[in-house]
Amino acid sequence: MVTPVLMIAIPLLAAFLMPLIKKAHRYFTFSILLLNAILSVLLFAKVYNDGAIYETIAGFSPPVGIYLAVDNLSALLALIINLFATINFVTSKKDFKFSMLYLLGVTGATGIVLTGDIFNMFVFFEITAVASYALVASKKDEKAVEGSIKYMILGSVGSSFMLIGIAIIYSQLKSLNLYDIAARISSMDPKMMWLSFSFLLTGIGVEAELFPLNGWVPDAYEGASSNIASFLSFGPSKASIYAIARLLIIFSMSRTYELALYVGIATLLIGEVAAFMQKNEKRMLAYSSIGQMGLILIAFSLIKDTSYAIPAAFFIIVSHASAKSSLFLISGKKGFGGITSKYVGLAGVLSLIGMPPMAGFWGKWYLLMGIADEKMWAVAAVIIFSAVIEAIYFARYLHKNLGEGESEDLGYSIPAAVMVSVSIVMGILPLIYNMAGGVLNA
Amino acid sequence: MLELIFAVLLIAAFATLFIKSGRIAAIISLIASAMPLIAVMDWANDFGIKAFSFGVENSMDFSIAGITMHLSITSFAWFFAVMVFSLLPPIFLFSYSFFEKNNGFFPFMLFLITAVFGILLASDFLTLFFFWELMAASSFILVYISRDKKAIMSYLAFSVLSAVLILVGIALLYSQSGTLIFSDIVLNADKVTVSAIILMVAGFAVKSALMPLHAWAPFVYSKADEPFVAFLSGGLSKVGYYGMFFMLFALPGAKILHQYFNSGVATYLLAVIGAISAFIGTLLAFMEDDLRKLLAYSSIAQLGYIAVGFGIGSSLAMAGALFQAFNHAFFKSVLFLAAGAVAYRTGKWKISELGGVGYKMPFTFMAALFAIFALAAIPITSGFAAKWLLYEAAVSNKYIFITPIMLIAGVGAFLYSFRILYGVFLGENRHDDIKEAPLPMIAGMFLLVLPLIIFLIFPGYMLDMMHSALVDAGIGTISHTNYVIRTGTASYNTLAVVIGMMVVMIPAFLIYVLRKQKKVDFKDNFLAGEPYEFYGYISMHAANNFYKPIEDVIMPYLRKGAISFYTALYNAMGRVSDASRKIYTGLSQDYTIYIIIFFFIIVGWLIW
Amino acid sequence: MMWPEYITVAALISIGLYGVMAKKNLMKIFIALSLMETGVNLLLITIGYIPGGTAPIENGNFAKYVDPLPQALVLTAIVIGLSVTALALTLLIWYHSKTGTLEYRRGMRW
Repeated sequence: MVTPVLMIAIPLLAAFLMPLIKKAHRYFTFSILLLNAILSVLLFAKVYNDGAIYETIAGFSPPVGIYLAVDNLSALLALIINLFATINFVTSKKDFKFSMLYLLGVTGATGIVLTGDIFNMFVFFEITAVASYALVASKKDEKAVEGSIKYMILGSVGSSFMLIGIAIIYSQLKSLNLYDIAARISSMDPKMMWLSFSFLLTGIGVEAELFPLNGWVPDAYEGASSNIASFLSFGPSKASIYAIARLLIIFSMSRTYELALYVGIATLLIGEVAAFMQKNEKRMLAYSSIGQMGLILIAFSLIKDTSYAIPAAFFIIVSHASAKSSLFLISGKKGFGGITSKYVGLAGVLSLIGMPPMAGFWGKWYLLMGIADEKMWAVAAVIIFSAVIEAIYFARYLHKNLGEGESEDLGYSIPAAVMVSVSIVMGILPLIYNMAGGVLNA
Repeated sequence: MLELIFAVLLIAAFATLFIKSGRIAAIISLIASAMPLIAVMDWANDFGIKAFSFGVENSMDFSIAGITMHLSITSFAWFFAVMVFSLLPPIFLFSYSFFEKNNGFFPFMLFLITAVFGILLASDFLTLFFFWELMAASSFILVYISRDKKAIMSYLAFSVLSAVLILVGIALLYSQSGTLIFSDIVLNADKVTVSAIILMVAGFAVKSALMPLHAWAPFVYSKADEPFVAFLSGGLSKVGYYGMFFMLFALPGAKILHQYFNSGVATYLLAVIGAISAFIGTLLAFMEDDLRKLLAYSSIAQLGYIAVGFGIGSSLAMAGALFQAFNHAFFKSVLFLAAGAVAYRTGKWKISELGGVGYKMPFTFMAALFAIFALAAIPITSGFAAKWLLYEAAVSNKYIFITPIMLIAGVGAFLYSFRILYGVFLGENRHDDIKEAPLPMIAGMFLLVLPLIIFLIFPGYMLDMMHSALVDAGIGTISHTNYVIRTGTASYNTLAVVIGMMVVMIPAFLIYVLRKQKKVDFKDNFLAGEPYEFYGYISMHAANNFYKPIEDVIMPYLRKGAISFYTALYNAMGRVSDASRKIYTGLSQDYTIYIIIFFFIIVGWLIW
Repeated sequence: MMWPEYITVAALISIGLYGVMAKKNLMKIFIALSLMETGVNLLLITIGYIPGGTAPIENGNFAKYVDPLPQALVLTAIVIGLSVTALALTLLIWYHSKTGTLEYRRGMRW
């Protein structure tokens, strides 16, 4: 019997058992993550067959009790996060504290996508955020610590904003259940509603790397070791952008969608333009991540109007999670230095700029179909512009890494190759689209 | 059977990924590349040409989990398929000797072929775009192998530009007609459709290196592996023109443009762009010292003629354009392969460092000579028939701007061809230690020359081949027999011309061979007795300052060309990027201020 | 409405934000963050509080009692705040030991 609770409870428990199993902690963590990934496959299969799961915790029924709500898209996201976390963890060479934090981070990110309760979401946000601060700092050099401090300051401000937003909603509706809130949102005082939306968007937006809330992004990604930068780009950021999608659906006003579209465009433009001339590889990838998050937000902002929005967002998320994470994994040294890294670099870049047979191709296809459906020509022009910019700096990135450098570390490049292969598999089998279709109805 | 062809191509591609030896990979690729050719031959029966039948089906629906790809062959796609796929076996034959090690050329070339096959077979936009992107991706990797920064950057940027332009165009068309299947699309002359057509034509024009979207071509053509460049210039640019042909005549976009603008201004613009490409490409070509860059600019120029034909759009012009496309596919492949063969033996690219190669590599020289004849449109070659049709179409439509430009460009083509001939193959013999190119290379080049000779004598066969394409596209064909092309104003009898030329040339040749010769040393001849050392090695080469007077006149104007425009754009973008990165000051205090500002802006925007 | 409480909340949050924006010393920034968190927690408590209400304990007197949920939330938030502060102090110690200062050295920007 698969229940979503297990996917949160098992790694959480395992994380706190970690000090007891100091010796074999890496195998233990890996098997827990693998178990979680398998569970998420089963969960996805179940959701796909039987429809969305709503599960109450500790016997209180909603709207009072905490509960988990899993639909197709959130199950898929949980699958992606856990799968990539499992692959990425292979590269870990640190002590048991690292494993513990890593498990906590994964728990938090999984929790964000599975939960159906807004305060619960806040708690998971904090879990994954605190774990991420520590993970970024775990490299222990000056840059890592400085990046972590900036991340922490902005993250704390963001979480305070988020909590204020939650407080406002609670004061009005006396409810924390997402579905309950969505049903009764129109009964709120409009000013209070907008205020809470703004607080929540600002708060979650810090984690979701939206412009201009994303000051921490380049520094934290630059400072973190490459496997943690990789973790940040498939874990917390993807979970938070999904949280923003849920937020948009809960409030479901044309004004909020419009706002999300503008923020998405601004994020896309700033991210891509800033990456254009960036010479530091990790910073460039970080700016490029910002741009991609903007693209995902643009896709989500079309949810209400077109059925292409969800597949578009889903494929861009898959493409970005797999490609950018794997690029981060092989970053931080001079040159690709080996055939595996070269494969990862090429496949990752081709996926990000949307060429088949990668997942990015379908993301681009569905996104532009959706935009054409809505006849938003300005957005199409922005996407053309940013795609060309992206192509130029990624071409430079590829060329720069051609030179003879250090030989590759297979411990990093093979997991990266596995990750980027996920993008290829998803691109070849667009059936996932059918599975992801018609979900997210709050 | 069709699945089998795709399967063989893909399996061969994956197999060659893991083969180290270039020889074995070349043999596998050669066999695999014959597969699409079999299908193409089979389909010939459907378009009025008798050929063998292998039982390849005409269409196929390929379903993969919710998405169906519709594949079927049309007459015009078939015509383009003939020219693209007959290039491949000779190119692979050439690469057998060219690549000792498999550096990734073979697998990605096979992916590229798969993609091109898919593009030509596609009968819905999703399939078309999917394979178009697959083509862009695999050809990018082939460029990537060259390791040249400018080539990699410009090729990826323009590929992506082309892809997004096409994608936006497709999305616009889809939003108007609600279907992606070609046969179901009904177009109206409205703003959205017209912009979609223009965007897509521009997207396809990137691959055909039409000015001003050609900026990638000189870098890529001059740096990538020759066999790939031969296919890029010969084959892939035609795929771009296939896209344009499809958009303008099969869909039919030209009619829509005509209705919308109430005049032929849009297609006329295409013709003008084509003529300017031909003109400027020619000018740039004959000032170029790098053999490959020369050929690149020459490609841009020759491809421009095709756009002129498409722009004019009459049956005469279309026949000329397709003929020109076919010729160009072959002669430019031969020239790039010949350049590759020369470099394979000498290791040099600069015309001013070469010279006299033809004495040591006579067969390579012969192949290149034929190709150059066709390129320069000397009256006995098939190149002449094509250009003649184009000129006549332009004249009969009274295009007073386009016609002279094309004529000047035609003369210019002769000038740079001469430079290749004299600078590389003839002139002072500086390479005593080189041998003739290996046999597979020569065989590959001569296989490619063969069609040029056939269609030199029988241009009617070519017109037969494009007959159903032109009829299906609603253009109409021109009357012809095997040797004679009849147009409204004149007729061109190739047999008569060939015989006439022979009557003149055979006696001339005999006189040349039988006359009493006195051998004059090249240096004496060239320097009129001046001491050799005085001028140095380069400066006395025939190709040095070959067209100095013309260069001095036109270079100041050409310096502000498209490439410097894109460079300036790149630099400006770089400055914008540097400025925008200043937002990230590295101080969490500033970032917090951004958060507060953002919060107040959205609150204000939402509430008031 | 309970104006004094709300004013206190607003004041705490504003002071906190001001500190984060204006102070150079990272220690002070983290103190400001703590202030801000306290403000937010107070806001949550205030929302659930009813003047004159009793503690929500089952003693038969259910007429008027304080909403228990925000208090539970605040407990959670306090724990989270505590962990963040602890981590922050650890990071500051590391930062100081590496750079000898508690201000940004501006090596990472743009």
